[in-house]
Amino acid sequence: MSKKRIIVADDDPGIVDAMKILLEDEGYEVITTGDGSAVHDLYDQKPDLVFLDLWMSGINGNDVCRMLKSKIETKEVPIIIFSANRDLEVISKDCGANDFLPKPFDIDQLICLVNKYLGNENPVT
Amino acid sequence: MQFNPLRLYYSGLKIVDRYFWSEDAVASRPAYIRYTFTFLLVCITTMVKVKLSPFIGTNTPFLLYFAIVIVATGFGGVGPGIFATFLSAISSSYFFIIPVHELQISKLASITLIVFIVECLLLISLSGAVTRASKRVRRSASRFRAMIENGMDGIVVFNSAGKVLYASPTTATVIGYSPAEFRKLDLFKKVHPEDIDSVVECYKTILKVPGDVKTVLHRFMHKNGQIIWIESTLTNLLGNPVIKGIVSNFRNVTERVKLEKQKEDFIGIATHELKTPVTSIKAYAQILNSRFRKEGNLSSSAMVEKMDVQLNKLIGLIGDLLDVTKIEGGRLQLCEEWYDFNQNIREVVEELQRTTDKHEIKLLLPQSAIEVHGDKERIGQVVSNLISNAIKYSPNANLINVSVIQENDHVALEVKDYGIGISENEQQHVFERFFRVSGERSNTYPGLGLGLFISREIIKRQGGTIWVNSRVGKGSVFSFKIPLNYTDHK
Repeated sequence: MSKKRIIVADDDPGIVDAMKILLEDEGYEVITTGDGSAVHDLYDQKPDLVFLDLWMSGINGNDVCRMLKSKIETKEVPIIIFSANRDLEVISKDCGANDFLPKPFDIDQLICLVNKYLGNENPVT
Repeated sequence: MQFNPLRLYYSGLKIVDRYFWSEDAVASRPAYIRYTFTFLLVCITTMVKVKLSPFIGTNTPFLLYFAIVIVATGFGGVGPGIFATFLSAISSSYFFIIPVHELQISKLASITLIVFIVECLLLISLSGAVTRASKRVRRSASRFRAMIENGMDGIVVFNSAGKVLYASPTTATVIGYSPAEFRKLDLFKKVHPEDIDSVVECYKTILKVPGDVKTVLHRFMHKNGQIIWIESTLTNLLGNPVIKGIVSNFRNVTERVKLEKQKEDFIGIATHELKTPVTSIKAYAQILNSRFRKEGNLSSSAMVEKMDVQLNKLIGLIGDLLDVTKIEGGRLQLCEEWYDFNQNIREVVEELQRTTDKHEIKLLLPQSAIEVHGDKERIGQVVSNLISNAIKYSPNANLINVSVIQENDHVALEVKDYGIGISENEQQHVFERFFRVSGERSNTYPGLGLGLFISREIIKRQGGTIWVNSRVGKGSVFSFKIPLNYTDHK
């Protein structure tokens, strides 16, 4: 069984790196980008889940989310907005995201959310 | 316009007052004019009286002379008044007191003459007092007018129906409209549509209570088309016999509002920027922890866990700063839902029990579940804050009691510690922003002094109350009570 694929888009290299290690340790395949506008192209690699930061250089995560959710071919993939923004909950609901994760977060919170969308099976081999 | 004799009389009096009697008018006349005028006035009057004496006889020797003294005092002041008195006395004794045409007079007549002079002197001093008093009134009135007309506040008096009774010239400085233009203005078209309700509401509340004062902040369209922020203080002076209206003092606070917005935005961005590196530090710490555990390196794992506890404290502080800005900006948002109150408290207590080895947190919950409508996370934050305080302020005790009771349609929670306690004097202030328990050992109890302030705001927004009972050296009991089903309308 192939690994589930997660896209992580955040313009902070520290967060992208840590997320990659965290999720890879959990047995997922992780594709990262610091450029919000590149997320749409990464959909070619058929992701199962997408993490979007809210404030990215050049483009806002909520705009990317709204765009992805408006297209038939991309709207089915669950999107989680993660940010330290104080209005995260309202903004993520507004742009049609499936969920949100306030930064900073605990590993448990992250894993719990990932399991919610990718099933409870433990992909660690 | 209708002819009104009374009004004409008053206008006449006003003109005489301003150009004839007034202190300024008197001061502008040279002495020789004042005395010559007085001399001529007495001469003319005497001549007229002499001409009329066949008709009026000699029974009223002082007729008209009182009037002359009053006019002379008004025209020239005290000096000409006295001058007129003595001229009149001489004239009347020579022309009108028997025997006429000589200055010699009878004993009785000389008494009358002395009485005349004394009465005249009284009149002169009275007129001086009146002049001085009116000068004082005029000066203080013009002082107040100058203050109102040259201040930075616009001042408008409305009657209870909202009609403008007075508008100060400063309305032009504040909103661009002169008082005359202001009277014709449709204020509902100039106040920002989003703010009309709060302005009307404020006006309605103020109308109900005489003497009440209320301040309202709203946007307004300046005559130049720009939207400015106005802070308007309304005072109900309908019962004040001089004002009989609602007084509105308003000023342009656009700069202040801009600065507040900037401050709020800055803190929003600053907390975001602070949280970003903390997020990755925390993530790395947790990765390290799980890797150490997999390797069986438990001592390193314990160290990383301690790091994580410290990181959580840092995150808590950043969160508190953010909450305070939200509260101040009226932007604290609540996420309301139905939740199991007992379960929520159980989770919070379990989490805090993990942070202390020393204290045992004993939880007493009612048997049946309590369903509450409100913000679960925020209530958890309050309970967590109360328990953390209990731990922090009871270094020499090892027990903390947390209990939950349902009272009809409310749920109450109390956190009891056996710590240092709070003096009665300080109990009144513990819920204030930046307040910290004082005393020689205050430095050994770190904190920003924001937790209880935030807790009180959260409880208030959920329609509840929070309070404290405490005795120094014995410990404190912090309690709150919230309705089971409350919807915040903010």
